[in-house]
Amino acid sequence: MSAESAQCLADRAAVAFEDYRSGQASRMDDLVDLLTPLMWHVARACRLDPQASEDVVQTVWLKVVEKSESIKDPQAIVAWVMTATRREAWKVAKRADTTRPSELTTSMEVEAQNPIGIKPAQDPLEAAIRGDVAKVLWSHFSQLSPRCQELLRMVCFADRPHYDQVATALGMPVGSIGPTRGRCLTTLRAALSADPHWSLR
Amino acid sequence: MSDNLHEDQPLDDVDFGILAELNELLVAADPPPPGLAERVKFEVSWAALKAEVAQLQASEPVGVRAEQTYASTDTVTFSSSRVNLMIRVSREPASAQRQSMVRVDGWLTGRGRQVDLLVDGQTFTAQADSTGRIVWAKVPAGMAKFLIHVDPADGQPVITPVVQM
Repeated sequence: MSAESAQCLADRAAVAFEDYRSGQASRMDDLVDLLTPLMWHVARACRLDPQASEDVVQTVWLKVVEKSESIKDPQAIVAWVMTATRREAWKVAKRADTTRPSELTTSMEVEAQNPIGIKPAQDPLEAAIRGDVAKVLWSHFSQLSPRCQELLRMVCFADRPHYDQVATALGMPVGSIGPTRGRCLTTLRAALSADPHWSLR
Repeated sequence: MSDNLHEDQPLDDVDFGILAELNELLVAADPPPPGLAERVKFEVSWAALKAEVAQLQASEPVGVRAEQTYASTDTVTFSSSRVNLMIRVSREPASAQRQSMVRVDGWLTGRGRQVDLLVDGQTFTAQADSTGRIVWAKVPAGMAKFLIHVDPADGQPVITPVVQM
């Protein structure tokens, strides 16, 4: 038992979904809390704007309720939800031109100048360094192909042992990521390593 | 370090570190909108209720024998920003009783909420279960309204318009 939370997201979601299916209707609330952020980031990784992403998340949740009986394996709920979200996101993106690839870059530039981070910065120097690192990471990340950006943006929300399952759920070729590095992460890491302004904390 | 970097190598701590930083960056710079999960929960519980009522209505037998079963049903829905309530009123057929009585099945969003049914100058209080189902087995027919205690701490119930039961 490590110091981190005992169960990873996928396991907690599987338990909540199983409880819901065995009649504990209130566990759907827990499932929504667990998976909504992930689904949001999947939709955003498909380059949908915030309003469209929100609509996609709501639509997919209604599908989860509708199809809950037909999802055979509770362990598969995370993969199912990611696939459904991605499919719905691409359907929406095709239907209406709602992609705004530059939007996040703009907000990231603002963030880099006024870094917030998750922990409040005690040392202004540390905060400034964190901001620079994030800016460098984002600038190299943005140079990746859209496909690589999509993959890494979704994978970074997955639990460690499940990267390959995530890639499979997203319809990526075997070997895209997990258990090996794969092409996309290799490209990003090589670019970061070559940049004197970047270092891993 | 980058000389020996190859896509077929297993993921190492540096890779996990990069992905963790990417995660932190996105969590800080692009979080889900506040209240998204709450809006989803509301929509989901509402969809589940409607599905249950539809299922019940679909299973009503056609051509019932009036003297043995409830003769008619009505479904009314009340929607507000804080709670939704759906009621299904089943009238007993005309009987020897002077006053006709009805059965009210209800479904509301949220769990365990208390609802007062006001009819015929009386108040009938019932409590929803953890799935939002609520029942008044036998209440007088007539003009009725519901007081839904959405949040006991809040004190402000949601009051429905009057309906004819």
